[in-house]
Amino acid sequence: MSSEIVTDPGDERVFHPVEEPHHPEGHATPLGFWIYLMSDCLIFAILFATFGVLGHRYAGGPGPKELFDLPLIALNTAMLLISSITYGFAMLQMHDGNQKGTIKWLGITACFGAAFLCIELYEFSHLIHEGAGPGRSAFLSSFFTLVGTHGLHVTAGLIWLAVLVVQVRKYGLTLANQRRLSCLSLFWHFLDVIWIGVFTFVYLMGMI
Amino acid sequence: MIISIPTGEKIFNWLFTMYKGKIRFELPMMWSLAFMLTFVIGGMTGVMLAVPPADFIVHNSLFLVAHFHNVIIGGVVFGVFAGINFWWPKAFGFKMNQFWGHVSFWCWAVGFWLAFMPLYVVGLMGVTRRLRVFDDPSLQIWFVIAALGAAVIAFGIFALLMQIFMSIRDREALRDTTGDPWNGRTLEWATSSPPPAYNFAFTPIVYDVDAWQDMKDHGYQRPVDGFRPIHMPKNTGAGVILAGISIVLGFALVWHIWWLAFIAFAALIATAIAHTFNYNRDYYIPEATVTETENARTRALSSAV
Repeated sequence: MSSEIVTDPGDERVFHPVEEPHHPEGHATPLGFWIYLMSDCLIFAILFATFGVLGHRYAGGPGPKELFDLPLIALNTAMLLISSITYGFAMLQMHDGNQKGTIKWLGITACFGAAFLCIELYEFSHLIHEGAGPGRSAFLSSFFTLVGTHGLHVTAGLIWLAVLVVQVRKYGLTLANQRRLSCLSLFWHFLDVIWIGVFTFVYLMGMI
Repeated sequence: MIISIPTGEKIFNWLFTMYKGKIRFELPMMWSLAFMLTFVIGGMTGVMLAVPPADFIVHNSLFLVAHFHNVIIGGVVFGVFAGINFWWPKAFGFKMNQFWGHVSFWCWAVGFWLAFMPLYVVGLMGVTRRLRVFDDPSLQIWFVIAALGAAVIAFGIFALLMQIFMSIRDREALRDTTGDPWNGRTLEWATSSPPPAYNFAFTPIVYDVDAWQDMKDHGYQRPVDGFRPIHMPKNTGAGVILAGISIVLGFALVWHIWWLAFIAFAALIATAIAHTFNYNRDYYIPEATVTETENARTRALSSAV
């Protein structure tokens, strides 16, 4: 209703709308999901700030220049960025109503996501074997917390993606499933953006 | 100070809400006033604790104990009691017993000051908390006063339980069929008590902060026919189940029971995923049910007059 707000007791009042307002199922989901993403953004903001403060406290231990293998990280970054593109293709297939194509591109996305995780886990185990585990220095504590939290998010995204593949196969590209795929899309691209921050602030600036 | 400044602002909100209003000294109002008065005192001693030189002296003393009981009892307990007394009729359809309510109120209000003001005094004199014995017999009198206050509060708790018991026992005599026992101003009093699952058969249009008062001022007539089916979300146990598993997970993590933590975490994720396979999440309350419910209310309203 676009009635003006008036308070004179003599005014006419329409107490109830003629047509009840209609709330289609899931109409508030995008807003809710954005609120979730922004709260997640706060977590990463805090972890970035922590890394900003502790990132140069080596406690006499190794620093980024000795530890980071930049070509490997570049490959890792490429995996995640490509997975975002392939997720975009899955969304295009979804908008065309092509269920098979959607699932195919979701599968490809999952492969690139899994490759990213494998490389990250390899990097972590390599660091820990070199004696540069999270307990070594404040730099490494904040490094493992920040990068590890991002990795956990990617893991959760992969589980979510697998569940959605099952649901799309089972129920088709229904409105509910399209909404879920859109939410995961936001989540996946969000993780990409965070990773660009990690790659820039942790790896590239660490090498300077 | 991060707490006290916004909270101080809230106190002004409440004061200006009452300003130029017609204050009726019924139990919810009495509890609210007791809450505000007590909470302001507790807040001010909190500001004192935020001053480092003062905090250095009274840290871990009975002054601190008095402070946090001052804010928890004054800020939470009294506020909750105000809410219980105010909304009980809305939730259950009958008003609360007034006599035991007043007894409870005065016992709590007086007992609180008797019990905790002596703690401020001895705390300022340096008595630390959690002591089993006191060397200085001159402190005895303060603890006797505090114990007396605790006894008065205990009677206040008893009176509260009595109030609940007597209210339920005499529920037929205390029954409210209007849904608006306080002559309230806000929308929850426009419905029956307890409200139907759908709250409003027709969505009300809000013109004023005190929407229900505005509706009454403009001669609102409750619609008695032309009801339609109402779109509703379905109930689900998922939230409660997830919360229950979370408790198990938290317990296992606190006590380092790793196998249980692992199982609880896996169960948490599995339950959440299983819930997403439930696509059937809304339903319509049929027109017949709405009409039946609203007709029952029409009959109740006309029999009350």
